[in-house]
Amino acid sequence: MNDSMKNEVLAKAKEAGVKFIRLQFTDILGVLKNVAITVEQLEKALDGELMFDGSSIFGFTRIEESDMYLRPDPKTFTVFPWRPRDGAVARLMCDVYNPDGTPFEGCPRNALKKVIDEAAELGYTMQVGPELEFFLFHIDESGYPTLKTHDRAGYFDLTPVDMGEDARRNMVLTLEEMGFEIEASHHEVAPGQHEIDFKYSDALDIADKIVTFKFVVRTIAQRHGLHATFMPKPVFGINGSGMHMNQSLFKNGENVFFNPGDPMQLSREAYHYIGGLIKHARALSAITNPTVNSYKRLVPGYEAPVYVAWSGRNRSPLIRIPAKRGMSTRVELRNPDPSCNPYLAIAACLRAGLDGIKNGIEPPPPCDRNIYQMTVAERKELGINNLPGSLMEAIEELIADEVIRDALGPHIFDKYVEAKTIEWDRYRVRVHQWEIEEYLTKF
Amino acid sequence: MSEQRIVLIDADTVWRKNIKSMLSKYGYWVVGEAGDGVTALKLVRSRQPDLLIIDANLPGMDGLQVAKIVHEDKLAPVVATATSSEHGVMEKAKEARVYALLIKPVSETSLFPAIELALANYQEVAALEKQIKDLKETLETRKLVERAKGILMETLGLSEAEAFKRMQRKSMNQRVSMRVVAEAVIMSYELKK
Repeated sequence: MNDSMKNEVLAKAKEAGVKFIRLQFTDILGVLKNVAITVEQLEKALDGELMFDGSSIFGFTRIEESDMYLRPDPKTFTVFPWRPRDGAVARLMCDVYNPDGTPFEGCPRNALKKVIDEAAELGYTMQVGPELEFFLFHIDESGYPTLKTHDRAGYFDLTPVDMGEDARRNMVLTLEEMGFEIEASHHEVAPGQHEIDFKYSDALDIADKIVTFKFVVRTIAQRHGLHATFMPKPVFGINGSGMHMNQSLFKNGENVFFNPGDPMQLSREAYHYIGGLIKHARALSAITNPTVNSYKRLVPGYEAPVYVAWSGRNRSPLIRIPAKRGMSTRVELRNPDPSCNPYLAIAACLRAGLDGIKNGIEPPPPCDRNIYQMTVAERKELGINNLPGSLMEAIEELIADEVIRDALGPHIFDKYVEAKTIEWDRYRVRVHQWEIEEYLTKF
Repeated sequence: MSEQRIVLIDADTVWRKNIKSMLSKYGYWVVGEAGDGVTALKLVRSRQPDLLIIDANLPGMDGLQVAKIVHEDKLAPVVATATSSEHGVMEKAKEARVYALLIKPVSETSLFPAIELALANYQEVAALEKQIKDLKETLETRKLVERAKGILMETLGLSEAEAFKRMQRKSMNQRVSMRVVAEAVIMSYELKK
């Protein structure tokens, strides 16, 4: 890190009266971890000299990797707005390094940087705009989250304020103080469901922001006596929570997906990028939809995609091309959900798109009909495949896909598949409530 | 005395009933009561009381943790109650900046002054905080205007008074604050560098 950036961070910390700094990074599953240090240790931390025991972090588990170093990214220095000024807390996102000074290959942020570098070799920078949905549920008297979204009648009869709206307004204000540009924030289709969209930015910045976003939303919800969840499908029978990812590539400040001369005003690169996403869609799902629960969202009837297809118009397929063109030309991937590790999800998508561009993969023709109303035979004729129906199906696709495997790197791939196979097995052997209700009296 | 609105939180319903009758005798209005920390947060946010009286020991979220959030988000002054000041209660009460910590049993004679002082001191603190914010803003604006003035003098060869006048005119014509004009001057100068 150069001295001017280091000094800038030190000056900012001093000005804001920061006492504690959280050095943040994620494990392979996207769970945010942090090492808290005092402001006196900040300079040492910025020099990348702070060590931690990696053997207790998931996916960093080999014993010989127990000594790891954190290298903070000075651009990510942010002061948390909800702490008092006299002892403010700030955070820095970090990359994980080996003791010999090489990037640790189990660090998801490093994995994303590798794919970003690959894009840069071709002259591309990726821009991503995510749309995150989440639910706000009530917490019961003992402090446990419930699935209740509405107050008991008459309980808050004096001032009928929607607790969720109030909390969401506070989230938006907090995120703005932390440097987010909020583009939209609204109540979603399902009761208790909310969406906050922030402005697109480059891939690494957005991955950092998604991690921060989830952390802020959970914190503010808790401060309102509510529980925020990014679980993809918390309640059967109503819409689940997605994280649509708007993606585009830029070269020399121009959007390379835009071509005014084309009937759809899309460039060859755009078509090939779509081709790449479609080719790898089934394996990608293992990363963008990483939980058992994810696949309960990807079912017909709730605005979530089920079929691998694309369209310039309708919202039923996996990929939609929003109407905007010019600098805003983009591809919207609709299956990701907010339980994914954003670093890995963005890395895998970018890698799939680049594969399309490098190898000139043509996408199938766009599908402007409602796919849900087609018969199996019609879908087969048009070559429209399904997304995986379960986590295990997705993992098998991932194992068979060299390109997406390569995007993760062998270390993350091995650990990821191992963890997800165990997760699936734990789910598979359990006897669920549905089975009891269905069979207990029948047999 | 105008009617002050109070939210009262304690797990013991009998205790709440007693305190509530004391409070109404002195002319306070209890606008919400509950026995747990999570509901306390919801009540304070939705009813926006003038004061929160909360017990340290609550199921779910602990009372002083609620008090800390209420302080940080500047929602209301807090009077806390507890059975003793041991086991870190005093430390947590300090950290939450509660206006008083009353050890149970609480008598009318100790409750009333604690409430009145909390209300009065909170007003004072709020006024001072606003003043500090305004002063910071003024100072920041002055710094920016000085810098912008310097830039105009250097690049356009104006005198100090002329530079100031020009910015003032722009501010009036565009109906934006001097600060915005100054920031624009500085930004365009930095872009040319």
